[in-house]
Amino acid sequence: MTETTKKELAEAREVCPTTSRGLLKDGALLVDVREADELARVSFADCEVINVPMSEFEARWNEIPRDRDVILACQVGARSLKATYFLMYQGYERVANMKHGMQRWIERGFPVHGDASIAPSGQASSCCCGEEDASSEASCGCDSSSKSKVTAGTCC
Amino acid sequence: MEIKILGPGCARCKATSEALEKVIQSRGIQAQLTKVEDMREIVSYGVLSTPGVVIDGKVVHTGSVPTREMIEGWLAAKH
Repeated sequence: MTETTKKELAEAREVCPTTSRGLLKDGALLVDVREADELARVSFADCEVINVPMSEFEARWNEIPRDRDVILACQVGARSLKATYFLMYQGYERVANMKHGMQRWIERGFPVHGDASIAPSGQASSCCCGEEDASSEASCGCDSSSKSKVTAGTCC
Repeated sequence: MEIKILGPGCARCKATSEALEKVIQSRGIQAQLTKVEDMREIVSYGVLSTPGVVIDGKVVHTGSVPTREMIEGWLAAKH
């Protein structure tokens, strides 16, 4: 049997795209967990970004640095929240999830590569790997309680 | 014996639950079966790929519907 221990995970830190932009300008790394086909349509621009897709996340999570601020993002923020908790389980402390993901990033007019008009909700590659439900993220939760060094002036 | 099935409630998670129930019933094993559908709690076991199976606090399986042979092996190891 796998000797995997259960760990109590604190609530993940979540930041909206506006706050994310500030953090990224200040040196945070963006980790896009969307799949290759999603990236081919539209991807984050004007920031340092690496892609660790959810389908490979268990094998590649240790490519993500521990010694800098990391923001995880996907299409609407559900898969990346799962990835954020997974990194927290692995002991990462400087991680946050981008709420509403690429969808809200585009709505805010932030820079992308590709066609910003084509931004369908992400579909999981398997039924359990990265399910996302945009409807569950309808409300905008600004991160006023965020531990972020950057305070969002105009959030969400 | 405490068995937890980790998963968001998809078809594969249900199939895993049914497979476990079937073996438990056929063997007359005393076991408490619980479904864990909360994402944060699922990941708190270090599990990303669901369905996952936890027996008495240990993750024994992730990422697919376990076979009857696998389940029988886990339960035999506990008895």
